[in-house]
Amino acid sequence: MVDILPIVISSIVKGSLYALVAVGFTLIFGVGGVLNLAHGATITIGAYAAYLIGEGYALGAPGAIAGAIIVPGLFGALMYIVLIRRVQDDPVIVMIMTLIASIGVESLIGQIGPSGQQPQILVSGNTPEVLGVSVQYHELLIVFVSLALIGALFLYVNRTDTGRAILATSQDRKGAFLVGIDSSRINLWMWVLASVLAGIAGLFLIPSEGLSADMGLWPLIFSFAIVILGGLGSIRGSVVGAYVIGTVEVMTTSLVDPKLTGLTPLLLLLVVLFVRPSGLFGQEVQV
Amino acid sequence: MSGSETLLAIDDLEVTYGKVSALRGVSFDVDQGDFVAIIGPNGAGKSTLSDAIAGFVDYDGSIEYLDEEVRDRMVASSVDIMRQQNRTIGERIGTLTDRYLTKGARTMVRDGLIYCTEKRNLFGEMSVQKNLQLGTYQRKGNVSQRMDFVYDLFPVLQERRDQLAQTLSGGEQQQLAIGRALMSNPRMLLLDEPTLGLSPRVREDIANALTQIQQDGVTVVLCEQNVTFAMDLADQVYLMENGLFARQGNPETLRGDEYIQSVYLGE
Repeated sequence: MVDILPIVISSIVKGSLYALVAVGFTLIFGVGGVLNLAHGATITIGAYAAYLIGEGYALGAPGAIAGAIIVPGLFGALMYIVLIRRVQDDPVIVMIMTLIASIGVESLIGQIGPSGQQPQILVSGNTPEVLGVSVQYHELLIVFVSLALIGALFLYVNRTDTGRAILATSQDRKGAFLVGIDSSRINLWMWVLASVLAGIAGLFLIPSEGLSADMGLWPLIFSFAIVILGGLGSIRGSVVGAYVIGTVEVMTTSLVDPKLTGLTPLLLLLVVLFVRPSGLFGQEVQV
Repeated sequence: MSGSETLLAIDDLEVTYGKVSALRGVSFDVDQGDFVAIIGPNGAGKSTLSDAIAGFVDYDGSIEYLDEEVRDRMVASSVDIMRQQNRTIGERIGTLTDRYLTKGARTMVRDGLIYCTEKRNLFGEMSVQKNLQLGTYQRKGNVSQRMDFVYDLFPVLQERRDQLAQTLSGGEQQQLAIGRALMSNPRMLLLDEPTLGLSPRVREDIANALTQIQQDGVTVVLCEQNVTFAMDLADQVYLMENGLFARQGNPETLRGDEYIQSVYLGE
């Protein structure tokens, strides 16, 4: 008899983590119409910044959180201002640029950074058993932070002037200009926001995946699957897609074979592309 | 011309697309309160002129809106700003700060030049009301009063206020585009082919709205293929052909012009 509760919990944890990554990925695509292949490298940057500041400088959890937010945010801003802004109208060039940046960052970190450490920087230990199941506090934190951040993002996009400007830019950039919205500034803000979300995901990945230069690779690949499954540019679709992909991955590794991790979400993606090429939810940034 | 403050001054304007000259030395002024129409056939250069005034295309010559060159108003890249040798480092950093940190980035919209493009560029997946609200993004003020004004001008927009913009008919979309522009409280309204493909009834609604807008003190520059429509509204008309002004004058004078009568008015 398979114990279903741990699978459900693991699925929610994975889904929450992937949602952080995928929502950022979809923000950049939805608003700027470009794919950021350096999104995985940003996860790595977030993880290493958190580790170096939290553990290396012994600033603990507050230092790690600050590192996971500030350093990836700055990296995202620099990426946009230095590399992307001038070529943002050419998605292919942007893809190549971000791929080069990704390889560069990961190579550099691989050369000079530590590897393999899996410290519990934020919280450690397990909850008391409920229905025979105990959950790591770290996992609970992932779920709550992810839900809180994504909930805040929904409110931000729906209730603020800047949020409405984001939606407007994603739907018609020239139209946005006509009402006085500076689309470059909105794009810059999306790169920062997406990079911060990726950095936080990197912080959460340290205890389970351990530090490595390519630790952002699989989350990036899953993000592809998630945003296509959810509908390119749809925030809501990305959240739903993240939990679907998280569940499929956990069920495959738990019930079939752990070696198949990564394969079934991509197979699911292929099926979706055949059946509903536009994904579960539409195109531009939607909430 | 009214003889009041000059809002827009265009001098020897040239625009080229590769080797093709779209505008070849266009000059004219628009004063506060004027209603200026640029008429001419398809491909004459009217849309290029509108795009140049709004800052969408590079140009040679001069376009000054409120005594400031349009190309200087357009936001330069950060690198361009820091390379401006004629300004102090402090001024350059100030511009960068304005560029990235303040809400009031210098745009044409903030100074009241509002552009309605031929393609309308509405936010299709937003409701009519949200499109109108976005018109106040740069120029706040009494939003509900302006919304009432727009709904009075175009009652159909009030009926459809919760409907997505992309589901409106062509005429309704055009009214929404003008309505959104009016929400920005324009000082000068620039319209490119607002009657293209519209029924006579909608054209009449738009004509009435434009008349009222001008009576309220808004300066209007209308680029329009429909010569009769434009001449009925404007107090100064320029005929554009092949990127140049072929005729200019008030509507009464141009109506008496044999060339315009035979080619454009079909008389």
